[in-house]
Amino acid sequence: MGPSSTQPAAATGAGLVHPGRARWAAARPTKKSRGGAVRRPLALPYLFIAPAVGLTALFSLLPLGMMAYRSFFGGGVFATHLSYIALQNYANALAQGGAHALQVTAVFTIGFVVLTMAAGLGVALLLAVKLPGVSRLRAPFIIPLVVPAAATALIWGNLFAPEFGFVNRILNLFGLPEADFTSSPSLALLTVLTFGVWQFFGEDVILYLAALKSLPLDLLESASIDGAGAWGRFRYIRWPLLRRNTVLILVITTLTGLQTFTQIDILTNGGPNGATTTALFYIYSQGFIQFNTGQADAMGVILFLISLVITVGLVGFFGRGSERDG
Amino acid sequence: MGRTTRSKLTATALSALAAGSVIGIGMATTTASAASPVSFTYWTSAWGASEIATLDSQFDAANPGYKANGEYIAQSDEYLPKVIAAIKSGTYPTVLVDQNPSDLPLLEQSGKLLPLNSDLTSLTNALYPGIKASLFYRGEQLGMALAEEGDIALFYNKTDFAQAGIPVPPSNWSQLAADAIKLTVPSAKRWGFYVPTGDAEWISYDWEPVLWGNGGSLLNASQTKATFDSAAGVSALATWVNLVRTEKAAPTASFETGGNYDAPTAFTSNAVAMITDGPWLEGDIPSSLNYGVAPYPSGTKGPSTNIGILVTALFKTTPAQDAAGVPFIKWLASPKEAAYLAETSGGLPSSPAQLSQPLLKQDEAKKWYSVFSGEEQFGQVRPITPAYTAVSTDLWTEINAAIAGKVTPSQALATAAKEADQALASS
Repeated sequence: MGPSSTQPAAATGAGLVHPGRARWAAARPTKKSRGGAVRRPLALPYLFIAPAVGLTALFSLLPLGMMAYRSFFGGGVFATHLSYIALQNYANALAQGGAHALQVTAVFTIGFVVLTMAAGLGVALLLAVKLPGVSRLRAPFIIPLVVPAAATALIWGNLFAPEFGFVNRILNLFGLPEADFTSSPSLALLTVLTFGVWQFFGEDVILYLAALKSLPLDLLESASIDGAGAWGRFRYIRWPLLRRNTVLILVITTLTGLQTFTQIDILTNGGPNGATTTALFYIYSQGFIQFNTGQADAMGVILFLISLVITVGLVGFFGRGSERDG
Repeated sequence: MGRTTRSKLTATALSALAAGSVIGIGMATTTASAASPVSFTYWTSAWGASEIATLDSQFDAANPGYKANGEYIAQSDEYLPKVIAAIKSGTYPTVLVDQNPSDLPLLEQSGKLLPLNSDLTSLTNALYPGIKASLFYRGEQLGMALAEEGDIALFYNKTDFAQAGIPVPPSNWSQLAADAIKLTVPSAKRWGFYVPTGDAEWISYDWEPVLWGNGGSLLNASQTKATFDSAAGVSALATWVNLVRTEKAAPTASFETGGNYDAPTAFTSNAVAMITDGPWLEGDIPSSLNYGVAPYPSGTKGPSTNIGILVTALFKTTPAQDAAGVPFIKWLASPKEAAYLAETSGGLPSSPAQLSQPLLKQDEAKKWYSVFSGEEQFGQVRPITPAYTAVSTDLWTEINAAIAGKVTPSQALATAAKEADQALASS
């Protein structure tokens, strides 16, 4: 579905001109292109976006470039004796726990994306039902988002504590064996993953709910009249119409998964034995605990490239499909 | 006017000018000194705002001509990155109060740390031997120990001991293992002892005295090679592993909550009957729990404990500020002031002279204070090397693996030593 079919002309910029722009345009002689259309001044849009681009370059691109540059150098944290060592930091990072951290990151992110999006979409579909009082149920799903992760991580730590933790007491109540939620490598990753999903799925609920609200009701009503059931309406109408939003939510959720840190830092500290050490936690550990700045920089570059490839890949693969479908 | 006369006049004029300048400068200096004392800044992670204000006013009153400005920067875990950032940006303080002496050799690499070799000789020589040894790195005294130290001892549940028919707490690891077996009650989900696990420095910190008690050492004398994989080390790790895996007298799960890897809840909830921890644990223990404190269990070669020290260091700022920093450090480390710091924090002194101060004599009379302070005579401090964090990380990672039964103690320590050697070589 293309933008022109659903959006008014003003939103696409085709029909209306901002008053300020009109005055500015009137003050200058207009040029006409070969086809006779009015050529817009080229400099103005660049001028408007210049502050944002400038700040992004200063605070994001420049540090990123510096990080990439430094990743090729060895030496102390004070940079008193830097020496060019080519890709040695990358080799060291991957050999000394970095490769394992990337594996953990992959498992965590895939699990996080699947569970968060499935839960987000599922809850959004339930909340989109027109029933009295349903709108009041939206708030509880937002609460985990607005409570600081550090505070909720402490609560989760106590919930999953051995022996006296709430979850183990419940297990005891049903005669089930206690579990080492943060001491056992497999359970620790699952615990952190569950915590991450609980913390962030509210965001997907909001995004999906907004998308569901914007779907054309006439189509759904027509389908109902033609005898389509709830599953049919979802499978053949809602889901295809949600595809563009799903790409956006997929990218946001993937990047959130790749950047999950606080929950891991407080709940497991990357352990046990590196079972929850993601690439981001590895960077923190190398950079701010062990002060191996070269290895931290190298892993930072690797994580950035992975994020970039995933984002471009997702938008390219799914986005192109949604354009075609649209 | 002849040449001689002119020369004399010129010389006289220059002399007068020079004399006037010297007098003027002297007067100006005197005036400035009287009007504005030399102000310097110190950073701390150990003291809160009210403690800092008290210390500043006490120092300023006792040392006219100087003005101390204390600043709380961050809690200990986040302190070093902030100090490094400050050094890089040139905004570091004159004096640093640090809870981790291993930070000092790393900071020394910046070239901004001033050795304290000759300024504090008598105060340094008065320190407990283990504390004194930890202040030197490659022959230079990088810092000065203050009071507020804490070491670790054995906490035991007297009620559990009475029920198990054990009259006194264990004094060595063999006795502890035997007692832990008796104290373990599977039906009550209670274990005899808590062996710490998890990804934290505490695991290394708590294990190191087991190693030292067996006559082992963490690193060689030149701090270039790990030596904890010796027979003494393997025996020390086997002690812990056996308690968990063979005797089943310690839990396999970590009782860490909220980043507290010493796991106070394991003891306070009576999930375990014994735990090794510092004096800070007393604040967490409910009044209903009948407990006692005994010295950290001895190894095959003698008693040991791990002392955590508060250390202060001097940075190269301006000559006047550096000159003011030395008396400040001396003042903080003086027996009277150090005793005050120890008393207000509930910590331990760093020298016998501090312990004999009236303030600490009162504390010594308190229930368990003398157990902790008595251990300082033979306790050791973690070696100071820039690679300590990496060495400790390698160590706790493999200790966890051994306790989980993935590798033997010998394999675990061999792996950790190999990785630690790499870290030491690159530091």
